[in-house]
Amino acid sequence: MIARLYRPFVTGLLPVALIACINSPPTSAEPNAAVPLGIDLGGSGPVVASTQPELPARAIHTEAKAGSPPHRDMPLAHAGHNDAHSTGTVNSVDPAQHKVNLSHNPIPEIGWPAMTMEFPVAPSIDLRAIKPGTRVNFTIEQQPGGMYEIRAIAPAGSGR
Amino acid sequence: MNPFALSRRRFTQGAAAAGALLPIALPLRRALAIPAPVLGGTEFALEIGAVPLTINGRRATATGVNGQVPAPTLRWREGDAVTLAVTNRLSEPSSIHWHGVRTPSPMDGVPGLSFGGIAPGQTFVYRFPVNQSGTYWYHSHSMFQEQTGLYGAIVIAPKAGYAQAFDRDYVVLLSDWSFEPPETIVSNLKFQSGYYNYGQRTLGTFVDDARRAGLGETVANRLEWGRMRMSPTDILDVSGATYTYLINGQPPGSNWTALFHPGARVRLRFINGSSMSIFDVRIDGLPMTVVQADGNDVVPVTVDQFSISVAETYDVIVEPTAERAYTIFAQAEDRTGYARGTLAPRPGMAAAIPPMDRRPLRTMADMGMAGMEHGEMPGMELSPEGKRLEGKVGVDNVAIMPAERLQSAGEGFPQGRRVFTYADLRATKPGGDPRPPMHEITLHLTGNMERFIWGFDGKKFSEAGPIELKRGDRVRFVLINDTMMEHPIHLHGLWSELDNGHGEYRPYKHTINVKPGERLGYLVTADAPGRWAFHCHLLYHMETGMFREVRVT
Repeated sequence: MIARLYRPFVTGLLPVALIACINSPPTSAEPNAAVPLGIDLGGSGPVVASTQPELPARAIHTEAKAGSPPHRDMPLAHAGHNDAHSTGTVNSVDPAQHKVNLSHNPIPEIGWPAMTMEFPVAPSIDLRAIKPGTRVNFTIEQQPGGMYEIRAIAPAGSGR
Repeated sequence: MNPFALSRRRFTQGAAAAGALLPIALPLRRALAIPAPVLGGTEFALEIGAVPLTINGRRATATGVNGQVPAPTLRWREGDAVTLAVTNRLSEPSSIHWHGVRTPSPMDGVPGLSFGGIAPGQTFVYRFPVNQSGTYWYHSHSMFQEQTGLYGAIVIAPKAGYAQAFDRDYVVLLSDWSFEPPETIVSNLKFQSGYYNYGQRTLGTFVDDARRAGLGETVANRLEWGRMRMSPTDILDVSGATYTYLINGQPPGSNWTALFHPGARVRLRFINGSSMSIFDVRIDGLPMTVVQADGNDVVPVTVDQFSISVAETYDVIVEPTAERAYTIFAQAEDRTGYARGTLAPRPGMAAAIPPMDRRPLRTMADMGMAGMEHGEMPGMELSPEGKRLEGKVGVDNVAIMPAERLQSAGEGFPQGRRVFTYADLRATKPGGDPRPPMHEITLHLTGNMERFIWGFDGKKFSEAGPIELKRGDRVRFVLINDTMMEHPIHLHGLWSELDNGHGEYRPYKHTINVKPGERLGYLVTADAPGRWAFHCHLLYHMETGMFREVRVT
């Protein structure tokens, strides 16, 4: 505490304090010194909330300057396999968030084991047709941000 | 049957998924206060969420994985492909970065660069081949979640077996915990960079110094520091004034203990998962043989102490022969606190906790003015790039004579202690790319301490474009630290081969600590395409601008 009260003197008595007054920028918060908000470009510093939270990787990438090679798309892990198909059982449906929870079979196209997980569902799909306990065929597609979304879903034929 | 239940909600709903083993054990583990569990195999379900935590009897809410802080230790095998389904149960976006693990760029876990982040309620499935072995760690790359607990160890078993035999194997994960929200810490630092520095020089120390060095010299010295807008007692920005230092999530009083049989070889995998704290680690009475750094084997060197910067890992082997306890003592570099654990033949034992060493003081060498006396400034010529930087708001000092400091062990401890330095790091095999570098990329590490702005070349991330590399390029990075703080610089996705005088036996590192006033170089082969983060791993330096993108196309 005392050390802090002394702070003006810490840098060395009066002559220094005078120089400090001349040289130092104000120690108060600078104009844009907001604490980083929800954005997460990995630490762009004291950014004021931007209208572009979490730009999808691909969107950023297209900013690449004209002279850069035509290798424009992010080398996504499963490049060329942006969609994949599988079968699963619906555990629950969340109409509010437009999501379903599925226990799905392995999806070899993208190397996934069998898992139980939630998927967002494309807005065009009517979730009222999907009931918990139903066995379904579905297609997922990778979104620019890397997440998978259900693009098609329908009860499996045999209905076992 | 489904071997791999993801959703805890599913479990609590009583669903019949067979993989419910993981959630079942959680409440029990907490009750028994057993350290972070170990998860092995190739498929992992990780749930990021708020976790109640009690440290020194005080309750807080942390950010954890599967209800754990630290997050569970993940054990992988070199050659496997791993699938990690990460579900975010926080109310803000999250992410996990596998620090030091060479994944494809989209699996690297940096929101905005490698993927879009994991929105609340979402599951992101990471999947990548594991083509390396060693000790690594994982942490959030979103906001300040790393400070609030989202970090855990990764141990990858080598396919060809270990170079060094050992009988016991422990992760020793160091971290810094604060009951203050990270946002408050940053705002305090922005307001006053010395906020957590209770050891500043005062009128009293001025009188002492004047008596010792003479009034004129002392005034000149203070004048010099004042002109540089810095304080020589600034060793770490955030100190024990707010931090409690932890070993595997345990404060010093809880005495985390690793058991051994006398005569056994014990491998200790030290990981510094702190946000802002550099530690000097030692075990009095027990020499440590460093066998690995940043996941890569090095020629064994036996020492009494090593420094571990933020995000680095060091594996050591110790051979305690006596039937007694030994204190694992990790004092913060600024001596404001320590993490402590114990190696003992039986639980419940403890050895003496040594007093902390003398607090180091920054010298003019730390300012990039090695060998200079005060008052000898006139006539010093800055390099052209130094001149270019001088006068920028984000640059309050330019190192005039940056020096090679790889052999510097730091200071603040007694003579005679054998201390590991970067010059001791020698790979056990020659590097994979014998080509000389095609070009050099020189970057100044810059800052304005009083305003707590950090950057490369005086620019914050938001002001700078990416560093562009062509795939296959071999380049040399040269870093010049113009600031008086240390900066652990982490390049994602590519190895950093430190030029430390060992020729082609350069050590491969993922995080390279650059001392104040230091100039160092390392080689990089741009063998993995993508958009990679390149930043200071001091969390608040990164968040205030010391971050760049390295783009390999």
